[in-house]
Amino acid sequence: MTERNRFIMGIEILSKDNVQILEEAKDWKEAIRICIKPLERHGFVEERYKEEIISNIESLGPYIVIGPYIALPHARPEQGVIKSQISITLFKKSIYFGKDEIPAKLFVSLAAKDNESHLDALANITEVLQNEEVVKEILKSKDVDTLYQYFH
Amino acid sequence: MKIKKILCFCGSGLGTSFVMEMNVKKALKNLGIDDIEVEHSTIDDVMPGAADLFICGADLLPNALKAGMAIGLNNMVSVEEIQTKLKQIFEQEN
Repeated sequence: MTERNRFIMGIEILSKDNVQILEEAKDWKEAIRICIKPLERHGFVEERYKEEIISNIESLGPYIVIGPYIALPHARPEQGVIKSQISITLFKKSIYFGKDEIPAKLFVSLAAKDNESHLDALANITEVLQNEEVVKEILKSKDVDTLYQYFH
Repeated sequence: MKIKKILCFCGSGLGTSFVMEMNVKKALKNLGIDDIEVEHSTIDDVMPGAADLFICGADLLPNALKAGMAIGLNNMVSVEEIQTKLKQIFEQEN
């Protein structure tokens, strides 16, 4: 079985191809574009998806920052999702959101085709992220293999 | 007022709000409460009467307060924060 066919809770939704570690990004907008790039490259979202996320954040605030150093970039299915998939990006240097400069390093980017199909995988990932000690370790990941193994 | 329904919401109604729903359910379980319905949705569904209690990220709290009683969370992956805030609300209401 190739990496691209791996399954989480029965849904092929996170492959190692879509996991990446980067040094930094210029600002939060660039960070969002970088995070969505693997999903775009592999045909899971349309080109406009990343810009839709950016415009959602501009109008609603940084609702995607869900915990310390954790962001969950996503938009609605009708905003350019082709197929449900998750990508994971770790920035070594914090990316700051909003006027309060909320920091994030781990970006779990979500493309959801409907209201249901991604929930099992997201539940699984949430379980991982609930453990503060594990999150500390995840943030220290040096390579993609290490980062990927926390989530599958 | 007895709280029967909690609505967790975010901008899109399928990511952040679901993470909150999961953690609210866990917090309720820890508090020994099993008679409250918990759902997740988008900000568009937030209106008076849609739920007895609204839960969202701290940045969206002003929107939620227009619709009714609400809790704003700083850390949405923290069951502990949700549990503490729910407990406060239940003590006020009962």
